[in-house]
Amino acid sequence: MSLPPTIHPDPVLTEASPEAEVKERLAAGDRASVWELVVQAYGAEIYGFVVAVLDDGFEAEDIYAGVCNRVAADLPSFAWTCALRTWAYGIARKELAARGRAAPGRVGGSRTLHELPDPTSTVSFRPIESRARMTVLRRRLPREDRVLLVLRIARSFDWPDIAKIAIGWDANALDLAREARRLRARMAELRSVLARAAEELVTR
Amino acid sequence: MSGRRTGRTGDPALSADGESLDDLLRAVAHAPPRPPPLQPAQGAAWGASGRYVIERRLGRGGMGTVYAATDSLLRRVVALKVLDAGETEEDATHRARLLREARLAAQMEHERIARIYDVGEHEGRAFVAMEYVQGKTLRAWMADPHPPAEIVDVLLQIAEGLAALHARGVVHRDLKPENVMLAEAGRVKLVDFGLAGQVAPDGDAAARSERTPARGPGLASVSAVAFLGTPGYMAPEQYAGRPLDARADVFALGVIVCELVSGERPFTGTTMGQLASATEKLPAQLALPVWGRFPAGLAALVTRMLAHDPASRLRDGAALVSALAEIGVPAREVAPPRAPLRPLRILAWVGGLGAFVAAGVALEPRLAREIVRRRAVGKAAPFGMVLVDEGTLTVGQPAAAVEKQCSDLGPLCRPKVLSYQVPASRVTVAPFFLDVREVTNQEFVDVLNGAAASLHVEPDEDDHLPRYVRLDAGLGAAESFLLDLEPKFGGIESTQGLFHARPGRDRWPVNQVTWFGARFYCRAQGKRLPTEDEWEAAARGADDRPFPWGGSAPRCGQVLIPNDGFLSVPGCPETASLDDVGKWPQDVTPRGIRDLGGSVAEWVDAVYSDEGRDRQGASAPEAPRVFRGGSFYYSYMARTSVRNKRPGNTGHIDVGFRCSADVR
Repeated sequence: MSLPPTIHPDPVLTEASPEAEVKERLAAGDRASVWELVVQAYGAEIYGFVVAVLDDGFEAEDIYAGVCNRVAADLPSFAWTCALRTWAYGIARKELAARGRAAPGRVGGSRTLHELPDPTSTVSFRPIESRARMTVLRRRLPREDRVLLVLRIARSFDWPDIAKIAIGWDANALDLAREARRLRARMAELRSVLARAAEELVTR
Repeated sequence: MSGRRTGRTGDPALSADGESLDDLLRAVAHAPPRPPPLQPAQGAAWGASGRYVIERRLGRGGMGTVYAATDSLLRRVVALKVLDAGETEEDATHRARLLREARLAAQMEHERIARIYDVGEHEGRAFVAMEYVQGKTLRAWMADPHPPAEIVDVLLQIAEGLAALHARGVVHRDLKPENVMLAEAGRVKLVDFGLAGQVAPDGDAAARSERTPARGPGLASVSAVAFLGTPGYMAPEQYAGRPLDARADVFALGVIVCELVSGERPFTGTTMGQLASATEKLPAQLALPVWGRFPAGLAALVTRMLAHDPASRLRDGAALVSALAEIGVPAREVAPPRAPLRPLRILAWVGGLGAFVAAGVALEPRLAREIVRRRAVGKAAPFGMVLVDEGTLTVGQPAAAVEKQCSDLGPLCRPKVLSYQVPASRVTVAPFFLDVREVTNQEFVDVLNGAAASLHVEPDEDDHLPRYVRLDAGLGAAESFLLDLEPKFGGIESTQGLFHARPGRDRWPVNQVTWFGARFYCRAQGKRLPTEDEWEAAARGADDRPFPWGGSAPRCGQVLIPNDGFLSVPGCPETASLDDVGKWPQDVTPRGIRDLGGSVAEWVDAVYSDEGRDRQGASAPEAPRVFRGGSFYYSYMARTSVRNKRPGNTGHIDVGFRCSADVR
């Protein structure tokens, strides 16, 4: 009998939350630079999240720049309905979705192993053995599933927070609960999908 | 030995059962934090003692960002390439190798090669200071029309640059139009040696050291190897991770020449695998009439440059310069900057080529028009599409012509279907882009998997196997039905929540797709289905071709249609089978659009009506939709004027589609 999933996040995220200081500075009327605290605290992990979801460093840079802009613009009006970190990931999630809509040719997860973003762009592929195979598996997943995997497994968010990131921290409790259930069920499906895909990768 | 493996690998992350499934999840979800990229700001000082002052960003390359910077020591402008920071050990190794090779290239001094002045690191970011070449890239140059003599001159200059590189044992490895600059006076400079490597006596040692053993054919063997380069220009051995030498650059230049001559890259594909396998065949565009306006022998020379087997290619740039001389393009001394190229001067310069000079003088305006058109395509057409600008043309047929068709068919005549062509009319079709070939199963699979969260698959009522792919978007039953997975002729299957192309059918045209499925795909790609008039403009052309390829009868093995009596295809069997797209040499229009006459018929954006043709827009989902073109199943629609209708909410084994797009 297999064990229930054990969540081991990537060894990160030890930064102290800047929530208190952010609130303090906002209360003091410092709206211009307070966003830098958020970026300092969560920038690296959010950029890593975006890179992992996209598998495209260039696009990730653009999206990350968008995240920073939105953090700066929206932070003063944040109603603190969730943790600051959850809110920041929600911003990143929105930027990812917006970019997906803006690029109709790049449907999330539609890229095959070596699909070409642009055949006139220089690319490099390096032999990272099993890591590369994991990347293959991840690339096969729709973008929504990659987001889910990274948030739950690598970032260790709990289900209510993932639901907030997915549909917005301002959603009503009923919708959030429904979304959390849906995401949890999807994660269970993903486990079997990935197990099967891994088998196929080994045997092809 | 077969590359197929069925046992466990010993890799715990791939042994997906029990506890190790958690390991697998963690490995797939691995997303380490990364320092966000910090790009040098304007005015930032880089290099030892802040020698280089950033002026502005010039562009991004595969390995980093290039800035215009001022060398404050020597008071000159340089191009400063700042390599992306990497996080892994592999990144560090890779960066070190690039720097080593840049230092190697810095020893070069040649008029056709941009100088590398300095190599170093600043705040952990490697940089290369290069000669700042004022001018335009070959990519930008290609956007304008140029007479053949100028194109040949550019080819020769690039070959000379390669000859100099190769003479020093350096392989560029990333030759492409973006890495060729045309400075003032038409002088060519090869730039960006970010990937250049020195050839070891037995091949490319650097590439070999990064390579891991291939594990058999297909995906696994491709995924396991390391390679660097630009997919549209990479040689087959580069895809395969085999040792590289100068012949990889010769191949890339062959691709560039094709692009210069015809406006299109010779090898196409939407995945690395497709592109790699495309290089196994010589491109059909080498047979285009436009080559006749270039020196005799150039097409044959390019054929050698593009040989799949490196051993069949010219060995290096020097051999290419010699080969060009043999076809009447003499090498010149690389000397002081030349005066601007003028056609007459160039024509004199290729003197001795009596026929070419004569043809060049006589045909130059026509060639210029051809190149203008092809440049428009090359500049603006999305990848895999071509511009169709036929203007005003005849669509449909007069009743008398249809009666004659019927009479010619004898007992096979289906008067009702043929009557759909009537009447003939003149229409003007605005320029548009059209896919060069039909959408394949693999391409459709990719979009389905991307949208998997919005789809569900209903089982077959009889055998309960996955059968009907539907879109969950609050649509009615008719509109939500996208694809029938029936396996006999269909190329797509669904297992474990993922769609796959059936083995061996990935490059077949997608079939059993409904009209709504075709529209769904095109929209997902930011495209649309062609209108009926657009389809006919592409197939029939303003020159009123009876078949997409012209007036000649279809030949066996040249067009994918059966010898079913509607059209005579002597020597061919009565039935035909589906096969890969784009491989039928006769079935290509003058614009290079393939398989309009055979393969599968194609949905167009038109609701059939007895009252008139080419109606688009809202209609009942069940309303019959128009499809066009011959297929492996019926030949009679290979004629460019014939049209037919079927319900848009059903899939058919002989109907697929391709997409179009507006010209913006």
